Amino acid sequence: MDRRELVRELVAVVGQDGVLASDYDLLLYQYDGSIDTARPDVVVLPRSAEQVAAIVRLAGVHGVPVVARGAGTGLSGGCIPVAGGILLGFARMNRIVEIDLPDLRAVVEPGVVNLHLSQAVAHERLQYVPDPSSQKACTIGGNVGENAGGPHTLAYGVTTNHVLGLELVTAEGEIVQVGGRALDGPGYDLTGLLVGSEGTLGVVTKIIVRLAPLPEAVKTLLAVFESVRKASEAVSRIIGAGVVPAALEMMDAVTLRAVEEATHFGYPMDAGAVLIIELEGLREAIEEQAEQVGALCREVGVLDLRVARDDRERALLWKGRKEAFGALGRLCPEYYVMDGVVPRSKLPEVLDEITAIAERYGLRLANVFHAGDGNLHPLLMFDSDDPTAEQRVREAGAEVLRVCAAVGGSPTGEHGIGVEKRDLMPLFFDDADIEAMKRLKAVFDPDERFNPGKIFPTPGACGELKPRSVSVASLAGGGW
Amino acid sequence: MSAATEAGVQPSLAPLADALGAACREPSPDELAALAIHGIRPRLVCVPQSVAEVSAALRVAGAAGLAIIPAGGLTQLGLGAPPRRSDVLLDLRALAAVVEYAPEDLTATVQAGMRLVDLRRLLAERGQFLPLNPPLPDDATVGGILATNAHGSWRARYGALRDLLIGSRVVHGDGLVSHSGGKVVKNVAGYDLNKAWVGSLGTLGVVVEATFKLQPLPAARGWSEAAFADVAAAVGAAGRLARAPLPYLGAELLTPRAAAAVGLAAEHLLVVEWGGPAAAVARCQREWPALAHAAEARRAGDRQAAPPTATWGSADEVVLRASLPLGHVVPLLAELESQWPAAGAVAQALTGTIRAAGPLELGPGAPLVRHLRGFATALGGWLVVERAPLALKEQVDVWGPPAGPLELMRRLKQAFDPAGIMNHGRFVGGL
Repeated sequence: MDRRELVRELVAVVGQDGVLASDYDLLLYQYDGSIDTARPDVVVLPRSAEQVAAIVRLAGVHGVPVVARGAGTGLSGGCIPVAGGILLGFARMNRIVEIDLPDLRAVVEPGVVNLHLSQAVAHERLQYVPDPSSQKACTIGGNVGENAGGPHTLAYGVTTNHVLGLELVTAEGEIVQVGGRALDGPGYDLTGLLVGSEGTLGVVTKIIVRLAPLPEAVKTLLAVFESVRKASEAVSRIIGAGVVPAALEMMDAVTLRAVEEATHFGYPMDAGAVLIIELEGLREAIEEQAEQVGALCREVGVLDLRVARDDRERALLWKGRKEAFGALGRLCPEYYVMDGVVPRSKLPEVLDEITAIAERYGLRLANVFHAGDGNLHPLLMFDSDDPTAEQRVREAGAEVLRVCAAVGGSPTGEHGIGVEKRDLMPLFFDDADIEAMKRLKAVFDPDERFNPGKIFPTPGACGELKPRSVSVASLAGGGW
Repeated sequence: MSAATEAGVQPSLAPLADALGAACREPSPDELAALAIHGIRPRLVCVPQSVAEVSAALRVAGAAGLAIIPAGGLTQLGLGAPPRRSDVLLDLRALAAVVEYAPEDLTATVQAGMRLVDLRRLLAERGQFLPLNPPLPDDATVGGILATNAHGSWRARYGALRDLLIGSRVVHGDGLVSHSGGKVVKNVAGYDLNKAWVGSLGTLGVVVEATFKLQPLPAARGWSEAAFADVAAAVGAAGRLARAPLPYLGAELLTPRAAAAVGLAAEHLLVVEWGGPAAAVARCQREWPALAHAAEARRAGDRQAAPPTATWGSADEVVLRASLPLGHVVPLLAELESQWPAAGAVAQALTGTIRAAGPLELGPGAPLVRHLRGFATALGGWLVVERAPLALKEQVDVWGPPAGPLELMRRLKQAFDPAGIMNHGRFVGGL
């Protein structure tokens, strides 16, 4: 690759101010919210799909990879350019193109910040439902890449359930449309295959999403338990009884203390764990649900059951939850957020095992996660000044995922495989399953132009965690 | 396909019959009427007893160039373009076991040959259900419903199969057995290949096992209805409903002809189904007349049950299915009423899916379908021919333009079914 020539040609496409190629600039784009890093050869900030298409064609000519990046809040190394090449930043493609009220759709560019869309339609009593904890920063393009979730996906589904169509730049550098505003377009569901493909099949340049009405009433409960085990028993009972709240989140004692210091909400400091249980719907429905949930919590010995008195208190409760990772940054120089899913009935035993794993590796553990989905986010705290810390964290992380595999779970509920978990894929998928995924990859991207080094296990990996040479970045206070 | 088959010489069935043994038989003359698609009859029927047998069947068929028609409850066998050939009908109804039902996790894994009615019965014992109300649940199988993306009005509340299917085990056209997704409700590990199989009409291979996200049965259900002077007013009421945070399961709009065809008064009728706690359902029924009258309903009130629309349209009628963006349903319904007055239409008024059924003469039929398709496409939607005699299908493309580049779909078909044996020719663009 002739880097200087590539930069010159990219400048011809997007202009001088759309290309970043200094060492300083490239350093800033080597991160996401996780612990892997790698520098791109050049960063390009396109303003249109036509520019993206021209960039992809140039990448083809020069034989370099193309990696799309939203806000860099990802937690699996999804936008880390492990093989170098062109990093596409979407900061300048951040327009809400259209809010289509009659059709209950919005058309957005990939750089639109998730929360901005819901804010733009709130006065119509509408919302864009997926609400990852990073929603103040993360982009809808990144959400599409990772099939992002969030607390409220328990009742309403993840990103893929809310994306109806895409504009895509293909490996050939063509701009094509898949799906649309209407449902059930004839042919294979290419939209569904692209959402969550981690930028490995093409570059999305426009997204058609569903808008949904805001609920009539919301009731947010805080249930306090003496232990994580009791709280997870309550979760299992609630789901098992057929109550599906809008959100059902857990925070353990370590998290609570950090969050309390940050928000001064008045969380009980002697609790082992709390559940945030949000009920949405008609007033009549949520009253009945609240009674049911209360009874189920009492069955496992809830210590206290509080209801957020008003919108302010409710907002504060959620602020604590959504900024919990940041608050935990106060407790340690670095941490590693994991993302595994287990059947909800298995939560109590799995959480016990995770606690035991953290103890075995001498790591402090915090738990803050989407309990209603069985989507765990164990957070392992460490200090990279300790030379053994990173290796212990990675090994403990792999053990946690083995526990998930053993109970029929998944290595990721919303963060993606990325670089982080590619070598653990064989724990969950056999050779034939991987072969099926390779078939799909070859359909869209036969030359492996897009985001190479993601999802697929590196050759020879068989579920063992391979040590890597990359250094661990300091994340204190960061990481959404 | 080999040169010999292109030239019209039928490939030998022997390799497949040898491989599967007792699972294969020659169809009896009585059976053939039900198994033929537009007169194209299978020469062999195979009823695999295991996933391994399905895999073996496809592997052998690929090598021998035998065209495979997968089948479940035969409720939608006529869907799509006529197949290029039919050598073997693969009857999947023997694979009907429950693999794992975890009521405490609200998930279930079943084999694809299980009938929806049996799955419903199993889940109802635990107060749960697969929230899907496609036509003919007594016969339709899980695999058939997946292949055809069948659904009904409940999609408004719960989504369709692409939203409910969380894991699948499939046999590709070349016999590869793979799984994707899993049995947890939230999962982004690897590509979401489940999406490839929903609505793919068996052209990529065979789904043998499916894991679904389940829902608790609503504590109470209830219906409301309202009659309107015209389509625009009825759709206007549905539009208000779509913007309201009410616990509807779905809503159907019947044109006067459709209402009459199912034995109701001939008027523009909107029927809403509610589901949730009894108090919530009661409130919706109580408040419905105000909402409907604000949208200029002639009358509005409760209803005792859903209108029997699931199977409407007699066998010799042509059925068209259109999907429109929600705000563009009115012009298409109006165009249908003026251009095809003999037809009735039922619209899923909260999701934009319209089914129109009526008698259609061959002469004007093809131009009419093309006109309506052009109309739907201009509105940002699609229109497919769901049921029609062969003569009409020969004159007009059943599917119309695909919702994405045909070249990518062609490559997907090639990647999963390299020998091109699966339902060849029945899907979009002749795939």
